[in-house]
Amino acid sequence: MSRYDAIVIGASVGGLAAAALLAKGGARVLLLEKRLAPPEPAGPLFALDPVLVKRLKLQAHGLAFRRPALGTMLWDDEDEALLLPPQARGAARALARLSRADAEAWEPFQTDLKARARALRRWWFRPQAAGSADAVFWSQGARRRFAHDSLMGAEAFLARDFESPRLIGALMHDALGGGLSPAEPGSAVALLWRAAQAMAGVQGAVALALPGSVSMALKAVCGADMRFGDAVTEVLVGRGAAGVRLADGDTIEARAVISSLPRAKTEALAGLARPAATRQVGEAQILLTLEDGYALPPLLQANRAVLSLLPADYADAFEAARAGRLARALPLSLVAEGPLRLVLTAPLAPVAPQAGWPAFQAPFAAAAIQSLRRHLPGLAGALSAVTVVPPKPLARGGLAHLLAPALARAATSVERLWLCGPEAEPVPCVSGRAGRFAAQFAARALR
Amino acid sequence: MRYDVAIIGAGADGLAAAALLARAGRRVVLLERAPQAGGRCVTSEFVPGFLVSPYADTVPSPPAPLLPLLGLTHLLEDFAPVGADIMRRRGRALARVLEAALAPAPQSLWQRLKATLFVQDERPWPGADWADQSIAALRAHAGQNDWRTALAGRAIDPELNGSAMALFAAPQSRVRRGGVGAAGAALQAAALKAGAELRLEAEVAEILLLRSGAGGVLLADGTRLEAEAVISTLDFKRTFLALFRWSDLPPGVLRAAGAWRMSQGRARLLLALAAPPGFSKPIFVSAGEEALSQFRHGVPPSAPAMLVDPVSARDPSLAPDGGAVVTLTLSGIPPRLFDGDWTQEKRETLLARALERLAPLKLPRLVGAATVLPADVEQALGLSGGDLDGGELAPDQMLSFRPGARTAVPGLYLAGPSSAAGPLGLGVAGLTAALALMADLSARSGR
Repeated sequence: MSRYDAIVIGASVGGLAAAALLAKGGARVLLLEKRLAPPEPAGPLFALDPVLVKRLKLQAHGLAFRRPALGTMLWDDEDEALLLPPQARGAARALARLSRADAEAWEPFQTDLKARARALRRWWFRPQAAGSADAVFWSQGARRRFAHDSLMGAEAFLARDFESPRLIGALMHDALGGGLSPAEPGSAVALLWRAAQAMAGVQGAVALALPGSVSMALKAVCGADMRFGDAVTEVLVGRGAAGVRLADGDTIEARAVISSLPRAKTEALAGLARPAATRQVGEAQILLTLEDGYALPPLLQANRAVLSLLPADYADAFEAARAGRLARALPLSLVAEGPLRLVLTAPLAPVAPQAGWPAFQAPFAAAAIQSLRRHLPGLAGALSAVTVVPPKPLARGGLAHLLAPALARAATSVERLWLCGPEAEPVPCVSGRAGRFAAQFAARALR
Repeated sequence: MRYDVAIIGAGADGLAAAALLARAGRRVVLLERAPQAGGRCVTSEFVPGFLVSPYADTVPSPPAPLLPLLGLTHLLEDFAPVGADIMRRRGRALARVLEAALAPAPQSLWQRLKATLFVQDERPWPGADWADQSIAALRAHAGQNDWRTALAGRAIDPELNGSAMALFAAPQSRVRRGGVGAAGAALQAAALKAGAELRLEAEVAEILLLRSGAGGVLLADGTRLEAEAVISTLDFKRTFLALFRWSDLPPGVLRAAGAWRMSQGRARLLLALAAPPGFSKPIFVSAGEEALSQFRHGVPPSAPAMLVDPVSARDPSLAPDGGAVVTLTLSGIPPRLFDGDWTQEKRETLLARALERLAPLKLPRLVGAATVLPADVEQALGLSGGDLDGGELAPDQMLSFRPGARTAVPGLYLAGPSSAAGPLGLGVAGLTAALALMADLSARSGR
């Protein structure tokens, strides 16, 4: 007889959510975390799952927002900042400065994007569909809807509606999430996913929680047993996942295992060392702490700033990242997490730089800070600490990953072993949704 | 004088369509802007005594069963060893295209629009599982040289997902003797023998739009030619954007034609040498690291990829005794430069740089040389952007996402390189359009 019904590896937002939901459903759950406390995600939450917030009553347990909804502000090298308010009409007014035609195209584009995003979510949420991307092509409805657009690069997708290279470049920024070049098929789907997430968020598309409050609230409601400071060295496999072995030699049995780790690492723990092509380009974060007295522009308090490139430069930046070099220009997005803390997200960072990350992170951070000099003068002199979080070596996703239904993304080659980490999300984000789905699949298997 | 069919352009597609229709007893007129027929299938003297085919040394292989129809039996031979998988996929794609051509014409405007705006049928197209593959990933799949010949003359990044689509256009044939001009002459003979009328130096200015659809053409010299139906062998963009008043067309067609992307970026350097070079097989010279970036930014490439083909080694009829003809097919040449047109000076620099890179081959003394740039191809053959493929070979612009033979304008048929059959072989698009037209005419007379 198993000691636990389910074991969750890693106290990420997804892991905590999965453990909390399973425990709430009456299962005996153990949460294992290598570190001594749950790691708090840096930066903004992309579309925190409203179902999760409601079901676990997170806001009654300490979840609080600094900014419930961040707007978007476009920065580029040549012009003033361009604010894109969430309301279509306001955004269209702002765009009129760039191009009349684009301002007129904005509202229909948003409506169309939302309609597609809604259809895409339905496809993702269909629980019985365990197929792959091919299944999309074989399914009548999805095919009619997505076959053409999904094979488009984001650049071509946007160029159908807009003419201003600045606007196209700024919107392309959101399509980089899946580690794809904006010319690759599937990057248009990444754009749709961002729109889908924006609609599904608890507050706005991009929300800024009080530092620590997401993990704290999840930890407070989590009825699972928790062990911190214990690393998992093996996932035991019988007929399906059967438990874990810890670094101290303990083995714990369970009927299901949910992992926050990347797919390749999880499967390696389960003894399946399959060489999988990993992504060469991923999302890196740079955390900046400022010295007291540096005044951030007020617009930055309520907005996520996107430092965009021109369309052709994205392709260059992608090529450079793929080759492990430093790009001439880095696309960045920027969020002020507090008056003295900035989180920079660089979606086109090399996963394996030629020099290796320890040597590469200093020039990388310097290049990012340098590219902000026009908008945040004197920033370099006002820094008290800089931390670089290198991109995770995720599996090379592409269209198959972006179009796969939730179960296909969460399932591994081992029965009753599910993922709830970054690879279970279609595009990188911290939403907790992958944890909710993994809990759902596990609960069904445990029944 | 009233014709049954007016065909715009006497290239391979136009000649093939004319041959088929005239043999079936239709009164056909072929209208060609240039002083000679053949389109890209021409061979001419570029230096006294030296012959060369300026636009291409190879042609996309038509399927063997269609060769007698085209009058090309025994004329062509396969150039590169082609992976069986690619040939199988091409065969399936061709079957699908022919099936669509022979099916009854869609009646409603919506169906016609849909046929133009991609997705001819709801079933998945052959190759869907390749859609998000890169050539690099399929190298093992393709024949030894496939992926390299697929790249020659195209600005395609083999590492990017979606680049595998170029393999569909890869299989090449070459003409045994007389350059590709011999194939053009054979096609012309077949069309004339069948009874088609060929008018050279007759440029079409407009397609006449009657209430019932396309009803003939207006020539640049003011001549009005009436016809039951019109076949355009121009590319998708040029057919709709240059030969109609835009207000007469359904807006969907204009949008689709406007969004259609051209690419390729091929330049040819034609060299007349005083003695045979020291090699008799084509040599592929890889691109420098910057080549694709330079293509995107409109900068003349410093080290473009090149296919060096000693054409006269296989076909001695091209060069005088003792001499030799070598062609260089360069990839990633921007059609327009960021600072204007290709001036004579820039052309010379391009030639000098290419010869410099070929120094290790120790070419014999140069007797004469010529450059053929995308702008020259556009001017000579009327292809937008000088793109011989009729559009970028991206997954959202291939196979059933290419426009079909029937268009949204009743009575107007699209052959040419942009149509679905375009990349599947020399003249195949012409045959497909002719088949669709005959099917529609017989359906109309039967009613």
